[in-house]
Amino acid sequence: MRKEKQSKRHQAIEIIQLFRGGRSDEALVLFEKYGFRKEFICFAVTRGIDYEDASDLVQKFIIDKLYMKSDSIEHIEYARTWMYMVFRNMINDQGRLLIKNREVSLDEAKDQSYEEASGEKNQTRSDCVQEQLKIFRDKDQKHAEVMDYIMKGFDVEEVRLTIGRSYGATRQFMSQCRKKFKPFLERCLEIDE
Amino acid sequence: MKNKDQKILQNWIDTLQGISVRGMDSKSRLEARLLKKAWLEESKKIENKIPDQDPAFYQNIKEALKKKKDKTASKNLWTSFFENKFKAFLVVILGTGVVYASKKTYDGLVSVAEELNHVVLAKDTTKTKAENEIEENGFWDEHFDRHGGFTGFWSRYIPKINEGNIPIVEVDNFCSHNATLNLNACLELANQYNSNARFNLGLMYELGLNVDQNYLQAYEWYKKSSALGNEDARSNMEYLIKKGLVY
Repeated sequence: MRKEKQSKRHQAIEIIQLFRGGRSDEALVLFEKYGFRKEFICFAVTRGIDYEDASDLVQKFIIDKLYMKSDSIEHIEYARTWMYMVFRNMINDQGRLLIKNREVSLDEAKDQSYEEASGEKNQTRSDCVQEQLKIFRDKDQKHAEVMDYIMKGFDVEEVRLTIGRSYGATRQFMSQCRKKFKPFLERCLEIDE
Repeated sequence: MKNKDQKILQNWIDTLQGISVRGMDSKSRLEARLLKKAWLEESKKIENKIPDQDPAFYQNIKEALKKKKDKTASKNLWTSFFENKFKAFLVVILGTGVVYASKKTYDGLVSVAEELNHVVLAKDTTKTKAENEIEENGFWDEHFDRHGGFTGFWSRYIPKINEGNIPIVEVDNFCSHNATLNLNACLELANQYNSNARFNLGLMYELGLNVDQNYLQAYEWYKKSSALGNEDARSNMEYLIKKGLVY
């Protein structure tokens, strides 16, 4: 996993360098080969955008940002971070977020985790967690987003750059992610495998 | 954050990122693994709905990029330069500054050669034109006439003949020496188209010899003298301009 994390970061650098060098055709081939198209569409879909809009958004991202603005990246080693930051901002700018910048407090999280669950009796633990994850995404976009970055293998520095907070505040924020999602998980832990 | 919390957080992050962690609380480990599994399955579900190959996706991008390239290529240098208004403004300001500074630096500066060419001695108006020419001109004019014809070796003896046979009596006409320059005397000669007299008038006004210093008048007289072919008058005229005394 550590290796994959490293390689994903390097793949982003490779793509950005090709765009910078004016070799956009080769960059597009690598963009597809390394699975960035699916990754970004998936990122947009989990934020409540439908597939077609997400696909259009990724196209726009490539044309307007990767092709036109890749020269503006100051630290090429954080190319992937830049890509996610810009793409996230594009989603926000388009006003397509269904729930914008909402956060729930720890107490609210405890209450809300049960509210919208389907309550299916034959539900497996895995299905339950998926359902709770979806609810969590709807309730608290910011923390869900940071959780996504962690899953994608971002380290604290990368998360810090993406969300624009200090190092300490980022660690605090990451800790809150764990604490806030915990009540959502509690219910699923009761289900026997 | 306390050290214990830090450790719990780091273990949680590591587990989510698939790094094996030792000594982690089993419940926390289970929670993290469940979350990871759910996240992967969710991503897989979404990715399964996305087609593996989407030629139209890249075709659209390539067309758009081609249009952008053409648009960029058609822009000329001037347009692209002035797109950045700040850059253009800066260059204009700098350019103006450089021009102004160089003008200020070179205004009133004359070269050593020009300084040497500046004649400050009055010309002798008692001599004839031919005598003056022989005195002033060099080897070429001494041996060739004004049409370019060879005048022969004997031409060099003309001054000597004059020297030997006719005694030269120095009579001051008040328009030949710096000390005795007189305005009326020089004006009289100048009206008779005497280029040296005109030169001397220019010199009088330039240096303020027996008249009030007036560079404009000096320039006018030099100009008139130069029109009659006086080279020194021309160089003095240029000197006045370069010095910035007349504009």
